[in-house]
Amino acid sequence: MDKILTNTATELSKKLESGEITSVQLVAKYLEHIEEIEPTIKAFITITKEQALRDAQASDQRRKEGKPLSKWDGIPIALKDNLSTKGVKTTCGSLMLENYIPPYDATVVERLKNNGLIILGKTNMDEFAMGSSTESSAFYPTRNPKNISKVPGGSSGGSAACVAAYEVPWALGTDTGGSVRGPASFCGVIGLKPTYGSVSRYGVVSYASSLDQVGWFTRSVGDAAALFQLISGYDPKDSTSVKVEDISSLESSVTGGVEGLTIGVIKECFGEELNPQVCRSVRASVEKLKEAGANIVEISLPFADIAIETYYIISTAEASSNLARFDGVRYGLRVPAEDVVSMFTKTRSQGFGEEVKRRIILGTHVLSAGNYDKYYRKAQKIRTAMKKEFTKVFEQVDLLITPTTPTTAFGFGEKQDPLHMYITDIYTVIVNLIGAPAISLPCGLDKESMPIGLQIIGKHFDEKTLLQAAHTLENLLDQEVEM
Amino acid sequence: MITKDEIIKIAELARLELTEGEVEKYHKDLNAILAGMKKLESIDTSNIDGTTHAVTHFSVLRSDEIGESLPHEEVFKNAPEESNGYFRVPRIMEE
Repeated sequence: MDKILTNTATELSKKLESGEITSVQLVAKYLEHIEEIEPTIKAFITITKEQALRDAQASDQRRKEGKPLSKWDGIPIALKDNLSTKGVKTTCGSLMLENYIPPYDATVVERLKNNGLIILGKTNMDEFAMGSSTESSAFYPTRNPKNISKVPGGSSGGSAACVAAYEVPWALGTDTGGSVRGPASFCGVIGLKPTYGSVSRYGVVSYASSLDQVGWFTRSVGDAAALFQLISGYDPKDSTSVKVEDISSLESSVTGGVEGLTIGVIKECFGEELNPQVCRSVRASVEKLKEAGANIVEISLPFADIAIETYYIISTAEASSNLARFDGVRYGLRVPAEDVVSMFTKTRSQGFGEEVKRRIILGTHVLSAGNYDKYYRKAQKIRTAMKKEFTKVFEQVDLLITPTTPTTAFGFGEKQDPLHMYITDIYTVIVNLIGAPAISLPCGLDKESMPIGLQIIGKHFDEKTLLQAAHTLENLLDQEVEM
Repeated sequence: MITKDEIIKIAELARLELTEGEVEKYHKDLNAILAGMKKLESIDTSNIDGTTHAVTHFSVLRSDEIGESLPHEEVFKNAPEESNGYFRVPRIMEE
């Protein structure tokens, strides 16, 4: 593998700018590497080779004329296969959308294209983003590049794996309950989930609309900040998108330190489900932040203990409603039948996989007459209480820290019981319930050399402080490796 | 506890037809999951309103102007069956 493939997007941008390399050369190198390792990793569902090379040519031409669309013009990226791409298959990891070709781009995709980024392909995922291992993809599981006998995490497992395997410098995913942060932790890369509303969801295939957010995988905090700047901001096509305040200084802000910041460690996230090696590694990182001048306090958030149950009521309820659109009428799979109700039923029964059906059934149940108040309404109220509690905590602290996942990556088929699988997201779901931003950073390795992830949670719309602390920790941990 | 018949009934509501094996599996899974959710019952939420969205936002209004739409032929490319600019489905009503 050519060493340039290990560069961050920021480094590549400089090399493209100086003319050290062209976009066509860069894309060709990535495609060659992809061809070599994809049979093993299987991070992609679709590789858009021809289009990528054409786009790279156009990018080089723009640079030649001195008119690049942005400093990122010509840099490759990969997209999770639930982000709509005009003219390119968007399967959502499901047989239901196996041959679906969107007639339009998601807003985030449009923004990447407007900045000259080159799309190398669409990545594998748990079907309809429902899962924590990418094993529920209707096509094939993705393997963890750090150890191919382990899962990459999910649901954005393909995007995490392709960044970890140097198939792209960065990739977009989506995060409804931890689907970016979890796989980032399992694959040893950085995963950012921004504040709900800061990045448009237009053209993102919905799972649970009040929790879904586009997020991304990078190999440096600086790159994560750069992507935020590239694709965040108000979109009239998404009524839940918010006008983000000035973010032009975000990239430079990641150079600040943690001195004077108060960081809360959530006590409830260090319970018996937490692997001791993960615990030690996260605690050691907290210690480093303390040495760097952060004020560390222990925080109790009792609601953290019921976040997973609350999440599975709200997310499945919303999913059962969102996925009602897949009926074989307008797009996607249709299984022919004599009458229309049989057509709906056969299409849905054959088009959806095991986990998707499980969540639709659970969601339909918690919304059904007699259960609505007991489950759905109750969960919504608890969500309000959680938000209040967080607001109160954030009056005392600037940031919160937890492990990202209770364990490192597990083996294929190891979690047959859905409840065991759901536990993977125990520390991440609460962030989606309250809508805050959070980042997962690699902070060490376990005995099997599998990456350990640490999660930092920020205040709503304060990505700046979040990235600043993440960047500080990134530097502190890098120094450790060098020593 | 939720019964197997209830699982079949809920699946029907969601337009899903389950095999016997699936009924068996989802019956077991759902009962385990719902048992875990009992934890929430002990939380007092009597004076709390529900949250429907993560971030408070207001109704978004825009002026009623004609904008660009996707071309029909592009949209219908994904249609399983179409007829004269409509989506075609099996017969709904008796003759």
